[in-house]
Amino acid sequence: MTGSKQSGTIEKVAAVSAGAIIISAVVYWTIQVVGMLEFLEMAYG
Amino acid sequence: MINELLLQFSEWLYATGGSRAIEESYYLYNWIETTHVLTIMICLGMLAFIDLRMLGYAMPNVPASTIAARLNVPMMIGFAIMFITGLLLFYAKPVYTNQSIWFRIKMVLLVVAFFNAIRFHRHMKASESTWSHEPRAPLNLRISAALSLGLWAGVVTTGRLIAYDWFHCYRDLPAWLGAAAGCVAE
Amino acid sequence: MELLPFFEWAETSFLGYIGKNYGGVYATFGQSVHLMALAVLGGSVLIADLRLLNIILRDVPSEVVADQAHKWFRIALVVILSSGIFMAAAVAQRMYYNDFFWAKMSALLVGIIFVFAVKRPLLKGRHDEINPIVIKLVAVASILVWFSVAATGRWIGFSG
Repeated sequence: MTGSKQSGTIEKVAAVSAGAIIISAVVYWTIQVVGMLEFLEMAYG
Repeated sequence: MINELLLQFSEWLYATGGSRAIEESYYLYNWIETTHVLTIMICLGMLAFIDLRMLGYAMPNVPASTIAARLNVPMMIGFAIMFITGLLLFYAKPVYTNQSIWFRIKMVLLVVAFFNAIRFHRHMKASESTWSHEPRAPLNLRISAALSLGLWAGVVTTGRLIAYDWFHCYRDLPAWLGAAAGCVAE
Repeated sequence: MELLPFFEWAETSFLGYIGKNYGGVYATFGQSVHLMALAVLGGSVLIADLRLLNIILRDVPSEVVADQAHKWFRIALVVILSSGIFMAAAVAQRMYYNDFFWAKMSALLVGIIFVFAVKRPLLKGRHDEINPIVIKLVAVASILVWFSVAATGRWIGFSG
């Protein structure tokens, strides 16, 4: 069945790209928050 | 008189520790502001879809009463966050904000939007069973929906303009505008 | 590829000139319209994704919700990109040196590719034939990417 094979490919692409986006977003915002906390620590001790 | 009282209240608020702490914290103030602005997506996003549904422009094949009832919950959650962060933003800059003509127009628009929402709900509850499956709501509800979109566009615009001091008291303003902006003669 | 000349040019272009010299036009047609489009764009993203996560509108087929929300997503995207280009043109050279601007542009590019090359093709057919975990991953990724575009966008202004 080509139909299900095709939908299998797009599902894999979707899962991988969605996973990559979720991980990048979490990493990006974690870096922002850590940077912010470090700055606050420097400023206020 | 009212402007003097509002100024006194703002100055008292300004002098409190919490107000100074928020305004002087780069991160705290800006994250409260960011939350206030991002909640547009939740609160006004849901509101826009409810109003667009009434006008027949969004999801015409889904019953209007379903859209209104289901999207109302996230809309009110968003509104609560907006309201709290909005209060905090005023608390951080009370004197400036109180004397912003844009803030004052925004508050008037919010009050009008509130009464428009009440009118909308009353008409909706009274008649929804008869037209809910139609792509467009009856004329009086469409008027409320269009008014709601217009009023909230005004709230967003005047809210954004609070950041600009084009008509602030230290500018050379005509007397009526100075009074409307809450300026008080020294 | 050197991009700075492009940003220098943008600031001297007609759009850049208007935005730079007419504060009222910049604040209303740039910033306020951008925020109004954010309401519709954010609303369409949240309605579709929260439906896919089975949080709202559970009694309406998710195919219907996703398709209808996408119509308004496209309209809002056009408006938000237009007003965004107008705003960026007015302060283009400052944007070139602003980290949040580039973070936002990256997230925006990822978001647009994700929606049109992954999410829409995936959700074209019947949703009950798709692995529910994949649907939920896609919905969470979509909310995160558009939240990030909006949040980094707001921080462009703070780090000016």
